[in-house]
Amino acid sequence: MGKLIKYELRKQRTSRMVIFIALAVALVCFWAGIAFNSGGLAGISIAAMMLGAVFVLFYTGIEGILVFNRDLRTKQSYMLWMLPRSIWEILGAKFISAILQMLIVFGVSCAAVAVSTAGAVLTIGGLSEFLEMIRTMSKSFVQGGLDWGDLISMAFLMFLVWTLVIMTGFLAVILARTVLIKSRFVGLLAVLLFFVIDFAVARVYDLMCMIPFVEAANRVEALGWSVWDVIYYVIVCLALFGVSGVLAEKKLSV
Amino acid sequence: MEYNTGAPIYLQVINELKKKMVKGELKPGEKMPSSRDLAVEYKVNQNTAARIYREMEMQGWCFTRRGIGTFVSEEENMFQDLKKEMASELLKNFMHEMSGLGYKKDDIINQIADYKEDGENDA
Amino acid sequence: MMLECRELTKWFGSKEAVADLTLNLDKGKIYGLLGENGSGKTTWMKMVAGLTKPGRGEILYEGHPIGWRDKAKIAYMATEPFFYDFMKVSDVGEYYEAFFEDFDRRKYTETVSAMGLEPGMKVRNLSSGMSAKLKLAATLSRNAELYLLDEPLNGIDYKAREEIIGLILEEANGENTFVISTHLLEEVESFIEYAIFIKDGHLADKVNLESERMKSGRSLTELYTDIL
Repeated sequence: MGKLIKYELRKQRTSRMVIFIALAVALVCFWAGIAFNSGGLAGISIAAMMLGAVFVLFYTGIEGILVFNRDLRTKQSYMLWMLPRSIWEILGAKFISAILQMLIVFGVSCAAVAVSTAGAVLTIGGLSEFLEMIRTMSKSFVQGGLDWGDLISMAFLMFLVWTLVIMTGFLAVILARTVLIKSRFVGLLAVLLFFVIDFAVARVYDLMCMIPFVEAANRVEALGWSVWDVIYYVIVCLALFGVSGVLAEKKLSV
Repeated sequence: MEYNTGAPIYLQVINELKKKMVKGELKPGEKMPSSRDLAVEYKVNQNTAARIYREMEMQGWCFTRRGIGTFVSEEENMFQDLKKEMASELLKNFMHEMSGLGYKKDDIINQIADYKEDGENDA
Repeated sequence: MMLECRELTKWFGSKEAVADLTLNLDKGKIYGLLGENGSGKTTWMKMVAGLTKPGRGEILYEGHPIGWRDKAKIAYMATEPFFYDFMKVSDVGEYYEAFFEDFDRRKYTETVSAMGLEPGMKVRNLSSGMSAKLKLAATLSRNAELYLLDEPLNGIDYKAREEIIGLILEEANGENTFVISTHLLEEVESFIEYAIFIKDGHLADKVNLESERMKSGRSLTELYTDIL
């Protein structure tokens, strides 16, 4: 599994590099703004970084699906499918590398933003203001302006939703490649299938909500999720993964 | 080597090896190539190479020492016999073809006496 | 019987690429897979390699239904270049070593350098001849039980062809099995043991060449014309 993940991450290296280079450029602009006392430049850089972060989060989120589609489209697909590995291991490796890719990019970006912010405060306001900022932040953590329970469940639910997207994407790509072997419209079909599966999942969810005890279940404050929602989406993710694997094993030709 | 594609390949290779023995390119007692090297050299598969050595061994033209390899036979007489045998084989074919063209034996002998190889001067 | 294909069928849309193909291969032989373009040779190979899934019929490998584990013993080489764009010559060796237990890294390094390839060369910048040799070096550096070589001589000049054939003949040791598809009949005539003729996805005939030469004196080209 580790070796598969290694090569999956290698396939995503180019996009990682592009993101990091863009980040570096933004950082340089930001520091130039600070150094030459140009508030405008520094502000624009920060804004660009924020905007970039949203785009990057979106792109890396679905990159796993795009790479999978590319893996099936070209002759390079043989590299993966000629290996003596089960479909579960291959799909599993793809899923884990998708998570790792997001974590790497997310981690580096967060670190960059944190360092820049700290640096800016330090440069403009001096040491005292910097220490003051640290104090305020740690105080708000300790005093609990933030509810850790909420934060963790929020992160978990986001992860679940994202997993659902990835699994839906995998199944859509496999279905499209199984129906149309080599056609220019496979990509389009996959996108279409993605929304069809998504729609079906939502419809089944609506049906589930009509069951009385599900409807009556307590919902987590502020997020609007009940325990049934979590169970439902976990089951859907597993089901999508299972169907993808079986279908690929029986029908997928590259 | 160029093969006649309508005749068994292993026989053609055996013939080629026999020629090498008669010409002295393969000397008595000399180690022959491994089946693998023979296969590459003559562009045959290793099963055919093994068959070639089997057949040649059966005829007594070579022998195998287990684990060491295949060697050309050490009997000098055998080479003389081989040479004669190959010559008579060629002659037989030649005579057959010539009589097919309507030549009698005497005509053929005269023809041979008058035959000039390339580069030989008229005298 | 090493490999048995029973009534193997594969459709692409409404076209039958392989149609009711029943074919058995024995261990330790070199098979030539012959037929016109589009006769189903590549599709058959990819089904045995596990890259294409049959529509109907079954493939048995050493008596059991073929599965992903058998890919550890089957070395498939496609006609087209298929290594990742980002790879260097040395990366290909690393990749094969990582995933195939039967891969001999030292042999790969030696073969590749004998071909005049440097470890640091980018795979995507290689000429078609070099690229073909690299594919073959990687494939033949495995000690597989079954080798499936799809058009290994395509697009390669004469000298390189002889080199490649030499590599194959060194590797085919009577224990392992080779299936080689090609259009270059004269090139393979002297060393393939059985010619498998494929026509419109069917098995047209399977001929032991040496026996055929002894029996009828027909060359491979003549057989090809007669059968297909």
